Amino acid sequence: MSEQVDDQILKYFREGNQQEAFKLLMNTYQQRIYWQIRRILISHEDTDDVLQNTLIKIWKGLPAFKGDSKLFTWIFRIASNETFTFLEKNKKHSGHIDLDECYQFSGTSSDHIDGSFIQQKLEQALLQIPEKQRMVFHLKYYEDLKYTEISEILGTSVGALKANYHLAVKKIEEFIKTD
Amino acid sequence: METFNPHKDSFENNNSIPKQNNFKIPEGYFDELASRLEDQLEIKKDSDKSKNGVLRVLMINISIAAAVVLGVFLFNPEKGTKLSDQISKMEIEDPETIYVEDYLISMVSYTEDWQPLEYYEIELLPVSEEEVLEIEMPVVDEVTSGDLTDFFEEEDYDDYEL
Repeated sequence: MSEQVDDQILKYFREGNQQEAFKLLMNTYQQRIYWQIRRILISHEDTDDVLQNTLIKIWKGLPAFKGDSKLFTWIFRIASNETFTFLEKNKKHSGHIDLDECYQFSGTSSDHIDGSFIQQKLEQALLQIPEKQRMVFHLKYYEDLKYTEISEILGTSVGALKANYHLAVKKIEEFIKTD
Repeated sequence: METFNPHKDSFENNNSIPKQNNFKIPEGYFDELASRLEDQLEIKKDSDKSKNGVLRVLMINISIAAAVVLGVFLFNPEKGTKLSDQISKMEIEDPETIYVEDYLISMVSYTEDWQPLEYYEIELLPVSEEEVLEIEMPVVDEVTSGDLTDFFEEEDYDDYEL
């Protein structure tokens, strides 16, 4: 499904149907890339800056896209690079984050679990792990990508990714259980 | 044999935590972003493209039509065709020689096919005898037979080639 959409985006773009290509690109990817960046940067304003740069780079890079990799891995790789470049330049992100300011929890509750509470715990736990591990966790857990695809995006070996992911899950679980 | 999985009962396997994003975002943010980027990247609108395309095709068609009309008025297509036909019909016995007689005959028959380009109607008004007498005619000296003889003797006939 995703590959068909990617093919359609490229088809529109190569045919010169820019508006349709741009519309489909935005409809398919802008939210996914936004969450990918936001998961690392947390602040909406920073995410907006990086997302804008990312989308501009994607659009301007499309004519040179040869199809050596899948379009979506190429897009996620640009987003990832832009995010980490931003982090390098702005070290302020290690500071305190106000959960109420950044998050809005609306998890569904059952007899046993308070959905909103557990969501909050997960987000707090995610803030405890390093950015690169958090990126791996986001792409695996939220985007449900394969390790091979994440490997293409982050330029890390599959083995290292597996280790990173399991480490992240372990830390999150420990945080949820102990806190 | 059961494979060891350290995260068998983990939240990531039993889906106990819904996969949803809990971040606050401004209302209408994604629509606004798409619109902002569309302007920034100067995405060409298809409607503009098709409008320009129609105008361009229209301009080309008008130019072609104008050229055809001009061509019809400036050149007589029949003339060209007939002339070439006539020349091709001319019998040349000796490739080096074009006989004047044949050429003149062909030209005469060719001019018979000419069509006048425009017709004019000239209105003739009756003129009275008095009006005719009032016209001042230029005074011309009488030409005698001697004058004619002198004229022809003065002409240098070597300039004429038959």
